[in-house]
Amino acid sequence: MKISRRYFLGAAAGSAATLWSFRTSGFDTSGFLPERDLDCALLDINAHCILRESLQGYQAALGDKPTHFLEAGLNSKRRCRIAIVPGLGSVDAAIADTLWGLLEAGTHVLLESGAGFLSPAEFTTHQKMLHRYFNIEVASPVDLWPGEPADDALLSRRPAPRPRKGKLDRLEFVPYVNYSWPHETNVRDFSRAIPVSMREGDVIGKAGALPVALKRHTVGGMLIFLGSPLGPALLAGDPQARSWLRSVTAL
Amino acid sequence: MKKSIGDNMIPKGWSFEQGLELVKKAGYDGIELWLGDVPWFQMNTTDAAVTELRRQVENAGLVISNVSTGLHWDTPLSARDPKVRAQAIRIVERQLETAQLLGCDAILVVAGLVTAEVPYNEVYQRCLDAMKQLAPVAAKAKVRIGCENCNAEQRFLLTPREFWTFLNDVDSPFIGIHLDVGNIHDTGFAEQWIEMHGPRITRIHLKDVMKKRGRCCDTVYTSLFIGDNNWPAIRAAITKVGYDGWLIPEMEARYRYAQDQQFYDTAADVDRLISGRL
Repeated sequence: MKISRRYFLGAAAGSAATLWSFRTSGFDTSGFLPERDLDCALLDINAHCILRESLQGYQAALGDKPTHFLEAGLNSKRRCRIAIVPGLGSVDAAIADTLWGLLEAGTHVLLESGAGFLSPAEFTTHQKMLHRYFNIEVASPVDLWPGEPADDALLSRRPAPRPRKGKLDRLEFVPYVNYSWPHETNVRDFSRAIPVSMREGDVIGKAGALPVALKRHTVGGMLIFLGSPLGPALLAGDPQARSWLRSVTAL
Repeated sequence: MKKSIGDNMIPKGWSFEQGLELVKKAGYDGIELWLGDVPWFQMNTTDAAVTELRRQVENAGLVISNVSTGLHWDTPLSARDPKVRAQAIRIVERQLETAQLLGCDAILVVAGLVTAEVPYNEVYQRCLDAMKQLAPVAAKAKVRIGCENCNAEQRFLLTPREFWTFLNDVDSPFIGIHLDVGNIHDTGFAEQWIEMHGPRITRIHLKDVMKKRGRCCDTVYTSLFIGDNNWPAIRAAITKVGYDGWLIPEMEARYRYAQDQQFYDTAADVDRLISGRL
């Protein structure tokens, strides 16, 4: 399904715009793509980024490439091949407008949700925001590790962590998100994943049978949504996570 | 060297003052206070109440050797949830604050917990970040943070060299190791840990371990000198590195009967270790 700015603007009407600023980092390929200012832009949306370690993970992964930082806000006129928004908690109309400006200009936007550990009320806001601004439908976070690991209970003489509710059998669970695009690879899960609706776009990542990542073409660039954060795995140096990111930034 | 024992060993139902009297009579020089593990010392214990604890300890003729906590087993610094991590940091900060109030210069922290769910590399990075964040706080308080080696239970920093690398990465004189010579059991030799870490050792916990000699071939903790620790080697390593700080027995369990006797027996064991008559 392709969506357009018209859809967004209709949905966002009445939403109060707020001032925001962020820094971008990326690798300068001005000689390679003269029509673009940046090849890859990493957007720090400040308080709207609720998983700071995820931002650090992307910074670490992109750090081996020539980088530069911009203190000024990235506006839609400043085009780049791909813009990455790590650890997204909330979005206001101004941020959404900028991201749509980028998409319309042909930039791919990687939107990573950091909402797995939000309270139910906070998550509801996150859910509505994704639907309102990006037409992405997500369900409540699923706890992928509901039980106390058996060896913890046996080995530890310490007070055991509180058991979580759930039915998933830990021993049958493989702790990876399987990405099928842009190339097939497995990356560590992040304990809680946000399922995406399979009606919207193409599912590109699953945790078990659960769809947790999608891509969708817009009128310009591609919108990529991750319901399971990749940044922490990047920060931990996970080779498959870094390889996946390299493939995406090379689109 | 001086000997101390944890207030979490005070028999259940006893008051803090009763416990202090026993600790003093048994011959200890100090007491280790466990934040969150005993009713008199909780996260919500006020500064005034903490100061009162110090007064009680000093009135009993003791000093506080260090502030420990088991709260990080349930609220680890390595948690994926940022809110849990923030609370874990707050626990360490409170340890530092109370250590200042109590007049001691070291705390014990369990610095991370590797599980099937949260893998080693994530735990390493988060613990490193946490310690770098806490190091200036500790420096300002003039209190050293001793990260405890919990080895098999923690599944983190399993060898002395890994621990050494971690401390190098943190790179602060206020972050060291609270060495537990019983926790090493199947993963190495306590005396080698002592040799390698020397001046970075903030405090030493004492207990013994019976390797694969429990029921079903488990490895179990036990009282000093019963298990497989090489105590002469441990004592020699302590001398070699010039450690002259606190020795704090951390017993796996209280005596079921004659509970006060455990304090006397353990004090006598520590005295033998200090004297080198092994």
